[in-house]
Amino acid sequence: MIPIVHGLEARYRDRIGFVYLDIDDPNTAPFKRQLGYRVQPHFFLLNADGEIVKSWLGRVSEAELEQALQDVLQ
Amino acid sequence: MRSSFEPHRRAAAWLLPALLALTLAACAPAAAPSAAPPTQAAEPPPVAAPTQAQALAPPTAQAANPLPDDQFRPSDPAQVNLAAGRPQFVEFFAFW
Repeated sequence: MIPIVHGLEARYRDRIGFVYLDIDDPNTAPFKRQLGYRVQPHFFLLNADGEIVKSWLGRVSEAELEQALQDVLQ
Repeated sequence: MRSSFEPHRRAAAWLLPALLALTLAACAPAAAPSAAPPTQAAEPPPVAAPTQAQALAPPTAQAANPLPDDQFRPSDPAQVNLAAGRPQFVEFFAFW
């Protein structure tokens, strides 16, 4: 998934923030609880207020991710 | 009276030394090495040590192109704010 997400980051980084949280880092525990992390890879798309717009569990296609990014920018 | 074994003794007299000589020649050590010293494998060029600037490169450096996989760096949780005032894509991952 890294190449896919990195490709999206290159295209949308000026409008969307990209955050990568290591599940083995204890400092990410608050974010896990707040977002409802289950198992990795787990993706969340948040709006400007930090509310979950959409989430994906497991592998996701680049097209689906990109469509979601475009939708949140509209 | 000549013994019937006399011819055999004569044969053995020269045969045994001959065999012994052949055996010693076969067991002799290998030829001495040539005068020229063996060529040593070319040493690989020394690897340039990373410069201090490279070692201290900020982890949040923005690149125009996607980072290659070997340069993937996780976000610093202390710097993350989910309500950042703009949409955010959050990925929970593991290195294993």
